[in-house]
Amino acid sequence: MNLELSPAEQAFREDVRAFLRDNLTYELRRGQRETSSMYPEPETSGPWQQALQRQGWLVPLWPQEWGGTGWTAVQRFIFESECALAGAPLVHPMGVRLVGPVILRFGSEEQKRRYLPRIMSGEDYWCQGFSEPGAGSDLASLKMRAVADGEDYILNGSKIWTTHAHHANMMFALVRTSTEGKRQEGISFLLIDMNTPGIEVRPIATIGGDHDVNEVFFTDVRVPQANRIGAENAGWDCAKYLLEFERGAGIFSGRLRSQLKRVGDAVGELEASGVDVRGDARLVARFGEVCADLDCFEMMELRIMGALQPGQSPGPVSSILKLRASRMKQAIAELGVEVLGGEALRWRRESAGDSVLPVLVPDYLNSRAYTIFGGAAEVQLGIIAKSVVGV
Amino acid sequence: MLLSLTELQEMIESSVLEFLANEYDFIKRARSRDADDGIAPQVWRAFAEMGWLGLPLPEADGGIGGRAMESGLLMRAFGRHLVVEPYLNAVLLGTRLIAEAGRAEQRAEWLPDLVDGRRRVVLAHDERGVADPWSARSTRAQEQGNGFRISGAKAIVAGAPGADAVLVSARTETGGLALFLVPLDAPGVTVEACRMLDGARAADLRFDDVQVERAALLGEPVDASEVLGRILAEAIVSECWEACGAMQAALEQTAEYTQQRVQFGKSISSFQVVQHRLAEMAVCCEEALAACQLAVLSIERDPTSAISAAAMAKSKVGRGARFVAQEAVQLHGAMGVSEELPVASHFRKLLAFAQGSGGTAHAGQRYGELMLLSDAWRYSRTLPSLAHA
Repeated sequence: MNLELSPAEQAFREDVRAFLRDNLTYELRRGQRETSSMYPEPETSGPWQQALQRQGWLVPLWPQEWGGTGWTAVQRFIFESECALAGAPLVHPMGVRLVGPVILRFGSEEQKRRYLPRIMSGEDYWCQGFSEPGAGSDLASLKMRAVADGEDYILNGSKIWTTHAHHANMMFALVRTSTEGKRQEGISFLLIDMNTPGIEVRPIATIGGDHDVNEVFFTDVRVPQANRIGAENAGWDCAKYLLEFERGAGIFSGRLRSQLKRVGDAVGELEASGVDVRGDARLVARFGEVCADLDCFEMMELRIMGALQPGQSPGPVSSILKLRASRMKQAIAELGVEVLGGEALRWRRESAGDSVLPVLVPDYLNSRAYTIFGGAAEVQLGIIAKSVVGV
Repeated sequence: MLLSLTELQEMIESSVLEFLANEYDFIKRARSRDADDGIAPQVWRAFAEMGWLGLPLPEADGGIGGRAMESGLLMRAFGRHLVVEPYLNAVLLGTRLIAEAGRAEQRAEWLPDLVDGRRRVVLAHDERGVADPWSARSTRAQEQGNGFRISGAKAIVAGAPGADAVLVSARTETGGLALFLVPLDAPGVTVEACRMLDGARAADLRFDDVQVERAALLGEPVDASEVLGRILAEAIVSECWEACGAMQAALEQTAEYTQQRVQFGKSISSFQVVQHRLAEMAVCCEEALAACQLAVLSIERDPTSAISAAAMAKSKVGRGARFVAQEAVQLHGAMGVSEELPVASHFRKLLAFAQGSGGTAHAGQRYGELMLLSDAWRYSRTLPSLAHA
C-alpha cells in the first residue's frame, strides 16, 4: 500500500486546482460556506454546475458518450476532495447523480435525448418523490396511486420530505400502479412536470430554521404514460439501481473536512475576540478525537472507493461509509456547538460578513437529519449485520 | 497510489497467521502464559527461524527490511491469537533501537544474537506516574569518571524476566535523554517480576547507583530523544495493529456465539438488538483498520509525523477497542465473564492496550493539541500535503 500519487495523478490534481483557481469565485465559496442545510440554494449551485459543465466535469460517472469523464476511482477521489476542500458548492444531485443514471440505464433513446441534455445544462431542476407520510424506511409501502386513463396516468396522493420541491420544475417519483401481488411489484418510476395542474407544494418548517423540504400534494394530476421509465410495475428496479448508484458515487470525506474547517475557523474567530478556547483541555481533547475520527473515515473511504473499477459498486460495505459519514457530520457539527459554548444561545440566521459563527447552530440542528434520511442509521446497521457480519 | 498489500506483505501476514493457527491456539497458548518469562522456547525459536526477530532490521543486519506496514501485519496476527511473548518490547523496541541508534561495535556485539533468538534486550522506559511516552524521565544518569551512574525506577517492563539486558532511558546532566545498555545482573539492579493483565510477564526495575562504563551508552553521546520518540511512536502504531487483530477476533467469536446460543426458542443473533450491536462492533473494527493503515502510510511517507500518527491511531483504536471488548463480553452473556472461552482473554488484552502507552484519553488530548498548534486539520490526510489556495 502507498498513498503516493503517480505523475499522471499529480498532473490531474494540478489541473483540478487550476480549474478551481479560475472558476471558483468568492461568491460561490461564500454561498457554500453559509449553507447550513443539506444543499445550497440554486443561485449558488447553478452557476457552479454550469462551470463544471463547460469544463466537461459535471457527470464523471456517466458513460463517456453522454459526457462522462472516464476517470479512475482515484481521480474521482482527488476531484471530489479538491473541490470540497477549496469550498466549492455542492452540485444539486437530484438530476446528475440520481435520476440521470436511472434514465441512462432504463430510459428509452427518446427519453435519454430529451432529458439528459436538460439535466446537464441545469434547465431542469429535479426533486425526488419517494417518501410518503406512511412510507419512510419501509419505502415499498408507498400508496400514491397512478391510474391509467387513455395515454395518461391520473395521480392522487402525496409525497413528503421533498427536498427543494419549491425550486424544482421536475420530479422523479415512485407511484403505485398496481395493488396486486407483492408490494414491490406494483410500483412504477414516473417523471412529473411540477407545473402540471393539481400539484401543490407546501413548505415544512424544520429544526434548523431553513426551508429545505416540502410536502407535495397530488389531486387528479394527469401525467403522460410516456413519462414512465422502464416497464409498468418495474419501478422498484429503478429505485434499487438509483440507491446502488448513489452509494457508489458518494465521496464524503472532503465535504466533512470542509465542515471541520468551519469549526476550526470558529476557534480562530472566537480567540481573536478574546475567548480562550484552547485553554479548555476537554475541548482540545474532543477536537483531537473528532480529527482522528475524520482522518480514519477519509482513509476508509479512499481504501473502499478508490479501489473500485469503473461501474463497480462497493456493495454492502457502503452502509458502513453511509453510517459513519452521517455520524461524522453530526460529531463535527456538535463540536462546533461546543466551541461556541454559551454563544450558541444567540439565534442568528443572517450572515455577518465573513463570520462562520452564525451557521454553526443551524448546522448542528440540521445534522440530526443525516442519520435519518437516505436509509436511517438503523437500516444501515441491519444491512451491516446481515451482509458484513453475516448473522 | 496503491490501495492493496504488496506480495511480500501478503506473504508475511499469511505465514504468521498459518504458524499461529497451527502452533498457537488457545490451548497451546498456555505454554507461553505459564512460563516464568512468558516465552515458550519452541515458539521464540520458531520466530527466529521464520526471520521475525529481525523483521524491522535491514537485510545487511540479518533482517527482512520490513517497514511499519510489515510490523503492523505481523502484530495484527499476534493480536488475533493473543501472543504473550514480548515481541513488541524485545524486537520492535529493543532490537530495533540497537540497530538504529547503536554504534558499530554494539550492533556487531548484539544484533546477530538478538536476531537468532539467543539473547534478548528489552526497553525500560515507562515510569510510574508519567503517562506521556514522550515526556521527560525521572531516571537520571550522572557522569562519573569514565562512565555513568544510573538511579531511578522503571515500571512494568514487559519481557524483562529472563532478558539479558535492558535499554534504560535516563535524563543526563545536560537535560537530554540517553539510552544505556545495562545487564540485568549488574550490581545495584533490582528485578521484581510481575504478571501483566494480558498474561505476559514483566518486571519492576530499580536502579540504585548502578555504575556503567561509557561504552554502555547506546550510540554516540548525543540526545536520543528523537530516535527514541520516533521508534516509540512506531511501536504504539504496531500495538494498534495488534489491538485491531484482537478486536476482529472478538467480533468473529461473538458473531459465531450469538448464532449458536438459543434463547426464547431461537438463536439470539436473530434479535435486532443483537444484530445492531454486532454491526456497531464491525464498524469499529473497520475504522480501527483504517486508523492503522493511515498511521503506517503517514509514517512511511514522512517519518517525522510518527508521533502525530501514533496519537491519532491510539485515540481511534483505543476507543473502538473498549467498545468492541465490552460488547463482546456482553453478547456472550455469562460465558463472557468465564475463562472457558477466549473472549475474556481478548477483553483483558484490549484493556491492556487501552491503558498502556499513556492511555487512550491522553492520546486524544495530545492529538488535539498537535492539531490546534498547526493547521493540519485543514488538509486531506491521505493526499500528499500541498498548501491550498
